[in-house]
Amino acid sequence: MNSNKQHSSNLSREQIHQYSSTRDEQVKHEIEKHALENDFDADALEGWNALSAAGYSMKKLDTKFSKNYSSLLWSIALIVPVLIIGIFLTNQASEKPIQGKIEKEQVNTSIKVEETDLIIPTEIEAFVELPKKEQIAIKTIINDFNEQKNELNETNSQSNTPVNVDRLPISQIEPTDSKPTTIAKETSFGKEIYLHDMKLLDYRAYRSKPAIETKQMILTGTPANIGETTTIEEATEWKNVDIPYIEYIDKTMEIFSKGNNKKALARFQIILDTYPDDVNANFYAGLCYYNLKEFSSAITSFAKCNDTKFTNFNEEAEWYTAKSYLANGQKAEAKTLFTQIMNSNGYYASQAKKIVSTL
Amino acid sequence: MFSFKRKAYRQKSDEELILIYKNEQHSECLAVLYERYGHLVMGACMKYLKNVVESEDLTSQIFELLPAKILKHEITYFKSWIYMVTKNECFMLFRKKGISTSSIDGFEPSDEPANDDLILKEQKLTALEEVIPLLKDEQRICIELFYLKEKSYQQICDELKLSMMQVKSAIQNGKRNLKIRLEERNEFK
Repeated sequence: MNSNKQHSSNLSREQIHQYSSTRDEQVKHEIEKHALENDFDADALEGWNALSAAGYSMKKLDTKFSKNYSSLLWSIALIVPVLIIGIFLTNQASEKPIQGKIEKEQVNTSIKVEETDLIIPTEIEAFVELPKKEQIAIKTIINDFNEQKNELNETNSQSNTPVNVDRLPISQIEPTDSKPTTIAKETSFGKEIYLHDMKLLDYRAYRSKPAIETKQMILTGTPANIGETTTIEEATEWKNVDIPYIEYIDKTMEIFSKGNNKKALARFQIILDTYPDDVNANFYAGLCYYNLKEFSSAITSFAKCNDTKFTNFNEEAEWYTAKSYLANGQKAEAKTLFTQIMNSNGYYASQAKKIVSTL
Repeated sequence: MFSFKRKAYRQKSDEELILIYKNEQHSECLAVLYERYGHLVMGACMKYLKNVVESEDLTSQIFELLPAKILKHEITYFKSWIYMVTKNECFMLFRKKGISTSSIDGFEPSDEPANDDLILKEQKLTALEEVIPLLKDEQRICIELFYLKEKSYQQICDELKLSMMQVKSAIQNGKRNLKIRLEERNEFK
C-alpha cells in the first residue's frame, strides 16, 4: 500500500508537460516543490526543462516498451497494425506525454484515425514549403500575441479610471428620408481562447454544439496472424463522424505548432467545409498558405478574416496580407497596406514603418 | 487480453510487480514499470547527457536490460534503484567518451528509499520558520521565497537577479542544511 503511494507520487508526464507549457507561476511552483521531494523527480524535471524537450514525444520509446514489451513476439508479424500505430502516433504530433492518456489508449485497444492522418489532398501535397528561415515562425506569432495581450492589459488598466466628459445638448434628429441609407456591418470583438499559445476565437460562445464533420476509421486490434494478409481498406472503413470543434481545432493547432503546414492546412480546410467563415481556420490557413509559398491563396484567406463580424484577427490579417503581397512581388500593394498599418498606430505600426522605409 | 492484465498490474506496487516478474516473467509488469518511470529515466538522462538523441538511446538501453537486471538483483526499492542505474549508465557513457564525471555524484547502486522523500512536509513549516534564519543569506532568502512565499524558480531568479542554477542550488543546499538543523533539534525525527 505504502509502495503504491510511492509510485503514485512520481512526477507525472502531465506535470512535466504542464511545467513547460504553463505561464502560471503558482502551478510552476507546485511542480517544482513536488519535484524537490525526490532527487530522481528533480533531475528528470531539470532534464526535460534544460533541453526544452517537453514538446518531444516519447512515442518511439512508448511503442517499444509500453505497447510492445508484452507483445514482442506478436509484433514481428504485425506489419499492418504496426504501420497503423506508427501513423497514429505520428499524428499525435502534439502528443502530450500524459500518463492518463497512455493508459486510456492501452485499455481501449481501438485506435481512431482521421482522414487527414492518412490522406492529404493532392493539391496541398504538391505545395512546396518556403525555406524555414523565410517562413512565418510559430515563435514570432506567439510572441506577437503575447505582446498584444500585454498591451491590451495595460490599456485596460489605464482606462479603468472614469473620465469626466461634458455632455452635449440633445438635439432633435432630422428626418433623413431623402438621404441614401448605409447599412453598417455589425462587428464585435469575440471571446478568445489560447491553445498552444496561439489566439483563437472561442466559437463555443457563439455556436450551439460546434462540431466538425470528418471521416474517421476505427482500427480495432488486428490479430497478428491476419495482419499480414489484410490491407487497411479491407480491415476497416471510413465513417463520417462529428468531432467537437474545440477538440478538432486543438489537435489542428498542435499540428500547426509543430510546423506541419500541409497537414494543418488540410485540417483547416475541413473546418472551412463546415464553417466557411470560421475566422480561426481562415487566419491560420492563410499562414499555412504563406509558409507553403501560396501567397495569393494566403491573401484570399486573410481577406476572409475581415469578412466576418468578429474583428479579433483584423490587425494580424492585415499585417500578414501586406507581407504576402511583398513575398508575392506585389510591391505597390504591399507598400499601400504597410503605410496604412504604419499610420494606424496599431501593434504592427513600428514594424510596418521599418518595411516602408526600405520599399 | 493483455490490457486487462495490465490494468490489474497498474494497481500493484513497484515491488509487487518485480516479484511477479521474478516468478512469472510476465512482460506486462515491465510495461507498467516503464509507464511509471520511462519519462523520469529519459529526463534524468537528458539532464546529464544534455542531448535528446543520446538520452533516448540510453533510456532504450536501460529498459532493454531491465528484465535481466530484475532477475539478477534483489531490489527492495525500485525508484531509487532505477535512478542509480540511470546515473550509472550516464557515467559509463561519459567514461566511454572520456568526459569527466564530476557532475554526477553517487554511482553506487542503492535500493534504499530516497531520503528526500521523508523531508519537508507542509506541517513542518512552522518548525522550519524558526531555523530558517540560521541559514546563510542566499539560502535563507531563496528558501523563504520558495517555500513560504511559494514563488517559482523563475520568479526567484528575476527577483534576486540570480541564475537558475544558483537558485536551485541555494534551495537544495538550504533544504539539506535545514534538515540537519531540525534533526539536531529533534524536531524532525
